[in-house]
Amino acid sequence: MPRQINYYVRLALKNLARHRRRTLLTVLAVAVGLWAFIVMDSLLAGVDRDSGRNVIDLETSHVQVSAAGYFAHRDELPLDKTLAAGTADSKLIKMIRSDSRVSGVTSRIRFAAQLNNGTDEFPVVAVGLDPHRDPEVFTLTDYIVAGRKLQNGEYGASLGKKLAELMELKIGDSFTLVMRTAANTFQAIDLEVVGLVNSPHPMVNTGMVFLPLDVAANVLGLDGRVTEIDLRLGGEEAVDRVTKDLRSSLKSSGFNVDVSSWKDLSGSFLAISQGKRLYNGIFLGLVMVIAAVGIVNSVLLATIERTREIGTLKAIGMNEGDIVRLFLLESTGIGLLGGIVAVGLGIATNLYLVNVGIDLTSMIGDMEVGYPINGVIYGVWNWTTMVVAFLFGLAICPLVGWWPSRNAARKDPVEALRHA
Amino acid sequence: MWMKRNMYMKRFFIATIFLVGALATGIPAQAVTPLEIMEKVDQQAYIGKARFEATLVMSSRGRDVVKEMVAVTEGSSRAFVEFTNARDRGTKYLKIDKELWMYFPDAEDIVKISGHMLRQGMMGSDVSYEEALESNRLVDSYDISLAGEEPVNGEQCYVLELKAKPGKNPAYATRKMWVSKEKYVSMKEQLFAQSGKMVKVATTEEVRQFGGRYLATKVVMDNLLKKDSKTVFIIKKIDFNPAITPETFSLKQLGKH
Repeated sequence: MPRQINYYVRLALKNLARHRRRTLLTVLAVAVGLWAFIVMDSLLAGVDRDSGRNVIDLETSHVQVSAAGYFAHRDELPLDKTLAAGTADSKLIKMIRSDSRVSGVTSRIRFAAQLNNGTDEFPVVAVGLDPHRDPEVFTLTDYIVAGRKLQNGEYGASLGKKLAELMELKIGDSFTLVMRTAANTFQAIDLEVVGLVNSPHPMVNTGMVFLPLDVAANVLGLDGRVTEIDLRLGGEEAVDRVTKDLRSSLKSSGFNVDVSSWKDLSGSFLAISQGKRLYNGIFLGLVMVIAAVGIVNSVLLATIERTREIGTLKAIGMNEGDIVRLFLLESTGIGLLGGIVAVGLGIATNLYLVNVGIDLTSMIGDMEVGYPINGVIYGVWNWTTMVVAFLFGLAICPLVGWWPSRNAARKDPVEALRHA
Repeated sequence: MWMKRNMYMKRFFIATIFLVGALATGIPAQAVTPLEIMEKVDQQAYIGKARFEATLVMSSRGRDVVKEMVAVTEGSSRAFVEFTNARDRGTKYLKIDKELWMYFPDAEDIVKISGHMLRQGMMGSDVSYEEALESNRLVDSYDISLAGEEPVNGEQCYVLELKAKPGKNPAYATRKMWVSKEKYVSMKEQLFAQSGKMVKVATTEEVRQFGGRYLATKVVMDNLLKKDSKTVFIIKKIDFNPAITPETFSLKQLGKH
């Protein structure tokens, strides 16, 4: 029996080698489908990872503490729900810092404003930040591309490079920030552009203005109060646990606050991310169809081309089962080769995607795609996806090859031999 | 996008009407203290019943947008405004106390302007709904002092400085107002942000007498935050005894085609 299998394997390999062009085309069809799956999975996982990083590093931090009721109204950027946490030595901040899993804490005031350049106005989200403590939590200063960092007490501002271009502002220019104070009184202050930011988070680049926390507190009538306390943790895996623990410990200490994780605060991004999983499933289905069409096409052609050969095989004593087995082995060979080529190409492509990435701006410019990401997107290494792709190719080929090979094997040998 | 911008513009017009209405009228009287002067001005804000036909010209960077409208008001608490120029015909606003509704003919629907929408300033910040809906008397919200006397457009005026009272939070922290000594019409008003930055100036360019009442019939509002940006409000016709029925200030009337 083993000899018999070896015989069929050898015969299948010979057949594959004999029809090189057809084998090559079919292998390529399978490989391209599987390769596309590997690459897309890598890019989507990369976008997912980098979007999450951008949200945490530039927008929400790992965990945010705000006044009770703020979370539900956060989109309105209310100034009537604030915390007494303007300085690092506030009781609330000290208590948060006492958790060893918290590696950085800062305070911010987030408010709605209009950026006025003397000719036009543009609605922005303004953020008062502590120039010394903010880098403990956020990476904004890493992306300053012109000018310098903010300093306490100065009437200066950092803003996104694209926003500055839109409003025709450059370093050293002044603009007016128009807003309502916490008491709802009209407020307008002149700020000098001291820094321009070009971050991987589109919202920061196009719609945010940053100014020193003490200046923001002063002009908004919020002395010593802030809208949020932002936390950086030692590791992202601790986010859910720390959020839960802080909720309970702060409550038991008498602080009436909302504690929210970055996932709570970025619902829309996460919704897109979940949608991506569905997209991945659809993509996998398409790959399956592409691979299946390739295999069916190849085996059908082989069958038609080799009708006389099948007749000869049957005439020399091969039965239907032997012929089906032979054709299935050939299909498996195609799947094996296709999988190897796909994984090889996938690794090579991923080397580029992980290390160099794809510059989205050259493809879609500044168009927002729903993800909090722009600039270069990178791939990630996901060996599980490669193994799955390889096994899929290996399984799908014999599966779809079974039906045409059975039909071929059922042909009458006399008729088959007469086949032109 | 156009529809949204157009809607914002309309909001501004209505807000301007309400504000200018508060600035527009005056009656001659004698007053000596700043408080008394201001009370006279405040009293003029309460114009009772009136029906206006007015034109609003918004100028920005040399481009004028002209809106025509008819407004019916009853005191400072109720107003009904309908736009009559071709582009905005059928757009209506209804103000009752501190609530504001809008009828947008394209959508054939009534929308209540509320929540954060009330804080939206027209074209950025000129006049917000909240400002339009403010009906507090200036004497209740501000400490008033007399800073001197100066002529404005040939009218000898009291110069009043208004500073928000502690605990009161009017839209503007400080105001400076030039009130005609003869007519008790605000001839000029400067509005300041909390920071002390002057943001708007309203100047009365024409005052007409209607019976025993003086009325500013042309007011120019300059937005100092925007270069070459101003709004001119011109009252073409006014009737102080219009027919007002219970339906005039109703949602039913607002939603009528």
